[in-house]
Amino acid sequence: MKFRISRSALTEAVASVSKAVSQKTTVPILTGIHLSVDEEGCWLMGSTSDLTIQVCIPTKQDDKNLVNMETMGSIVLPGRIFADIVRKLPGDDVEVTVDERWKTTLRSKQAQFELKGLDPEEYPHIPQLQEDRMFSLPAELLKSMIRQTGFAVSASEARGVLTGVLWTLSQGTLTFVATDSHRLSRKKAEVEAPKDLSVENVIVPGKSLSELAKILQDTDGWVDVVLSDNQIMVRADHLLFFSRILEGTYPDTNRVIPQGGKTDIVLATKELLQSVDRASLISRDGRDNVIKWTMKEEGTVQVHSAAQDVGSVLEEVTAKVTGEELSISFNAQYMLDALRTVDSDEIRILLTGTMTPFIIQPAEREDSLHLIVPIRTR
Amino acid sequence: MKMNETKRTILLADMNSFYASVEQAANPALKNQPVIVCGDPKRRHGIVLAASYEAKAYGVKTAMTVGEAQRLCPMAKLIPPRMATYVEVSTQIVEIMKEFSPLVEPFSIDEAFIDVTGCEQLFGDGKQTAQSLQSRIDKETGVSCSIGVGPNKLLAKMAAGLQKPHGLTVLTPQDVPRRIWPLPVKKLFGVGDRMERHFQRMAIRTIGDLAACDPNLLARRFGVVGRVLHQSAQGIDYSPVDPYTLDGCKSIGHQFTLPKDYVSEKEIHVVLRELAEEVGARVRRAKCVGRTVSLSLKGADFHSVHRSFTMPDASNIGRDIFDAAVHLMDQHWNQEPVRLVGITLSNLSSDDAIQLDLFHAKDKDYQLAEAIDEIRGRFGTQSIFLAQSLSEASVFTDRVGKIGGHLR
Repeated sequence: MKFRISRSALTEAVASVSKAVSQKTTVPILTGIHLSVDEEGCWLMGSTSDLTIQVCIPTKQDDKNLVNMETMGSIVLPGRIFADIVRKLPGDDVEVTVDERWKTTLRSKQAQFELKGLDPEEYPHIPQLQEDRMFSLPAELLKSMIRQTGFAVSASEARGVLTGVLWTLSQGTLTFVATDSHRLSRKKAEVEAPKDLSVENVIVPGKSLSELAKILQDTDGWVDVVLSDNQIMVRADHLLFFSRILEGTYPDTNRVIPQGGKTDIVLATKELLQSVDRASLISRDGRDNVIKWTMKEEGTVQVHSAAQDVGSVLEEVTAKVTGEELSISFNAQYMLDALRTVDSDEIRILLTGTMTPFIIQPAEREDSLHLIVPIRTR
Repeated sequence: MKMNETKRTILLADMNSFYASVEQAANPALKNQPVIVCGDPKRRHGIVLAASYEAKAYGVKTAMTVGEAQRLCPMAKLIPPRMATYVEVSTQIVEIMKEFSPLVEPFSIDEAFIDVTGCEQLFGDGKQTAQSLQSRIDKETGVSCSIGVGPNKLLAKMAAGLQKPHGLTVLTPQDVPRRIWPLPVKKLFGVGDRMERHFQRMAIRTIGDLAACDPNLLARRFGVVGRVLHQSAQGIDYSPVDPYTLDGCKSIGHQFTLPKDYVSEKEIHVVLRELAEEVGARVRRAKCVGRTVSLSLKGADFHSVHRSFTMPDASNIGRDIFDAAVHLMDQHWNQEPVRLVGITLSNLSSDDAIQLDLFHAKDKDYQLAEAIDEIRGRFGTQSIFLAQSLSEASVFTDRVGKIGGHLR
């Protein structure tokens, strides 16, 4: 195996797959990066028990030669040290040579490294998925759906399925739901899918999705999503992303999302966000970051927060209030997380009572929804 | 080190044979008679809780079985405990002490520290203050106490132990070599059975031996504890008298010796549920919620399990505490018969803000718990209880109306 490759392209590809390189040495070969080269280009792969990422550096891109292959082949190189070496090599190109005993030589300008490689046959094969359950959507949309729901997953491993985002698809509408049982976020979007394709109870780990969003950062265009019983694959240009699907049944969230409301308020997103942000300066040191809202019929929301050893804050935000006057206490951080992802100038908040969940939605649309469960105060 | 510079005057009031003294004070017929406050001799927890000095003269000791005590002192009057009364008298004594100085730290039900530094103009020196405190407690509650006076809590505590009953001992740092050093090391505050055994092996028998020991050696062997004990042996103690020490309580729990060994999981679950409800009610009364549940199971062969589990959300609801305890039992119980069970809730914080849950109607749990607490407050604990408490395994009726497992 022998080839020459653009160092900047290699650095970028190594950074992408590094997110799926195991740090633990329980399966030693998984701490390596799998590298192979053929006529199409150079393929890099990283794999953990949860994730597999494969990227391709094409032989030619925008009339630029990125890879010059002399002899085909593959190798597994120790992940962390290989990534560090590639990043620090002096030249614009790297020449990679692998001998029959997996000894790998990396040459770039005046520097020459020799690394002990591992037999690529020992590396797990890339999963082969049946492509009968597949749909497509713009990468931009997928990223925004992840951004608008991913923050609401539970950070505690003990919570099982709640550490993942629930994907459902029916009649061409893809829905993401995430909740840690204290707040919930839901986002819907139209995607390109076969009419009769329906997907239920697919739970993708929140951690995998945040990695996916990072890897897709510079990707525009469309991506394909392929589902199997225990894996999900996302395919973009020169990129394959596999994630484990969580086992278990996601709780029925439609049951807990209130339908009607007692009090309905409409306010400017930015103004509200800033006021909650200010109020949380007082509340954030407390255990639950509690702030209290009081909806007044004359058209204001009173925002109040007090901390025993710090002080207190009180301000009013203008709002269109319809329905009963009501006060409610909740965790300010949940509100900030939700408001920061809302892409609408005006939002509608629907309250059902002091001790029951309330809903935040863009004023004019129904495709996104955030729900916050209040805090019971004495 | 500000504490080091100012000379402090600290008193420890130690009630002599507290429960027995309270009984003697309440019933003049018991005065100067051997009195033993104890559990029901027919039950397993029938042990001596307190013995009057007249009974102690016959060799009766706290924590021995009632049978043994009766053998030593057959004429002793056996009295069942009245915990509520003792708590009341204890509070009354603390209130009397607070009239001398606001810096009163209750140390146990029958001991309290008081810092009277700077009160000389009002009450005289340490000894005079101790005398007036002693006579006021005696006059107002009928309970006699021993008072130790010292420049810090350690020496005050050691002094109180030197002369009992009705003693008054003043210790100064200069007294330490003559009066403290000859004492066996076990008498040093902070040295338990285990530590004593360690010291024995190092040929440390008296407090003086410990004081003469190389502090670095002690630190290497026992860590910070070693250094602290070495300082204690010199009579040095910087800890302040903290009136709030009992306010921020860190855990609330109960344990219970079963009337017989429990073998089946079902029986143990009944008791665990009852204990969990009891712990929950107490945590609610303290206006707290807690996250960490600890379970203790002690077998007939004294093999014991002590494990804890941290719940995702803090709670003070019996059901939640029970579920956590069952989770622990499933993991750690070795199927051996159980003679003692205990549940403790720790990692406590205030209950003034409780994050509700999307999938569990927590608010209803809290409302239900509050309603039950209120009903019990008005009509007694036995007015409402779980149906399973009617089953044979239940210890509910047995525990109702007890404080610390003893009669009110």
